[in-house]
Amino acid sequence: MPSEQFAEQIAPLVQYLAPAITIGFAAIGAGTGIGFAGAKAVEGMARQPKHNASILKTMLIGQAVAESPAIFALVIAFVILLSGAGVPDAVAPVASAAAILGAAFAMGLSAIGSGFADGYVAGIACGAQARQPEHSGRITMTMLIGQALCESPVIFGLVIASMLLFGADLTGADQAGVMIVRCGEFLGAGLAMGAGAIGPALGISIVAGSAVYASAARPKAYGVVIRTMFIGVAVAESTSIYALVVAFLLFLGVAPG
Amino acid sequence: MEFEILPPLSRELGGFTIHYETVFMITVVTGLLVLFFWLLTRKLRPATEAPGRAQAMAELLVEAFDNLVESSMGAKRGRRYLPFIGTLFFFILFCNLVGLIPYTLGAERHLFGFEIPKPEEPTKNLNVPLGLAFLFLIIVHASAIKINGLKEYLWEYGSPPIMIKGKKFPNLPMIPLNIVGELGKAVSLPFRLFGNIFGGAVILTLGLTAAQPFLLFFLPVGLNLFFGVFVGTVQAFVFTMLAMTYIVVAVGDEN
Repeated sequence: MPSEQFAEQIAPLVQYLAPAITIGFAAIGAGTGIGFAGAKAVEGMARQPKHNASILKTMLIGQAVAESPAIFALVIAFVILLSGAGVPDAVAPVASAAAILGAAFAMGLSAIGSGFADGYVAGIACGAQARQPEHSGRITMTMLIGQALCESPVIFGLVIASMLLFGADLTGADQAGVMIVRCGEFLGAGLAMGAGAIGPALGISIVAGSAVYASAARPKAYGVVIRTMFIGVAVAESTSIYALVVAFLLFLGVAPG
Repeated sequence: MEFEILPPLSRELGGFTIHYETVFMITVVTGLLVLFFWLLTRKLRPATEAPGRAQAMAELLVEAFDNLVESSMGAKRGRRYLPFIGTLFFFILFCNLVGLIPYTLGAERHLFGFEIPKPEEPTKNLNVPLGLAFLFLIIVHASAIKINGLKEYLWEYGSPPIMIKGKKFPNLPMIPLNIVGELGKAVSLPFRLFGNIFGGAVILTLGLTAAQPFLLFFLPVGLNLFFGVFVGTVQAFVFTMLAMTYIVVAVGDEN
């Protein structure tokens, strides 16, 4: 059965693999999204060369906010790599390694959806900015709100990752039976939240993007647009909340047997 | 100089754990808020004269929030929520910005017997955004119940209603969905603020510890500017806007 030596031996495997998973997956979404925003900004500038400065400003603000999911993932990667949280527990190394890998999946996968979502909304905002430059303030404000809503799934991923890293219940996990159960629970929680956050984030981004566009195309209907956006986003977000609930249940060990 | 990621200093007080640095910095933030706005409103001129510079700035700030709140909630109701929304924004903003104060400013000094801790954003401690979200939850649900009535409030959870023979029935499958949606709002609001600010603080600490000496020439300014000023301001704004919009969605228009 695993011993303290075993924990020392697998520590490098976990500590190097987990951050790689975290930031590697996160970069997929954020990179694509930010690139999309840049593309739409360039298109907008070609359409309206007079307003280059304001389009550039919107693009930079939107891209900076779209970095947030990747930054969350980077922080979790650093925490695993450089602090004691990423070292498998000496008493129950396999279960705690599973918890760390679960956290990596939760954070990395969930950042894919939100990263692209934030970038998509920023891109739509740049396009709207080019079409209606006089509504610049409102477009930027709606973009920021939309991006904040797109970040909910990755925040749930951050929550589950933090819980797995710092609060995993390892009592009795050095015995074979309990160890397998814990491994399944931690990896399951991580995968549930991670994969379950990709789709909802993309769905929220479609709603938010249209709301940003509509806020410029129909300024008089702004109140209706914003309220409908919130309702649409709430329903789109609900699937990620199901994932959060399942991840919680798995993490807390609420399962038969 | 040693940089460390430490949990907040805990002190025991009558069986409760108090995070000393967080409480100290919140007191500092409150003091700064009071000082800032007192200085802005010291010499108010009557409405017939042109305002001075400080007064013009104060009017700018208040008007900006007044327009924001009234355009979303209607004139009368908006005015009632203006103090909450405005204070929420400035409190979070000052909390996030106070982390820019240099590290060694309070080192090893004592004020009236209290040790001055390392200056850091109080929003870095999860309890602060959670506290703000708790406050927000109470305000939203109490407002909805008070303004719309308990029956209307409960109907919202069963919306949209099913019509059977002209009588409204609550939409049973939607009830868990609506409850879970409310929980989602309550969870995402504080964690967004916490994740951004705490993440920024961790990246700052790690970036400045691991940086090559020549990078330390511009890295501190660049990182602090982005994570401290930009992210801090955007997150304060986003928290406030989302809180206000959730209130509007829960309470409904003035018509």
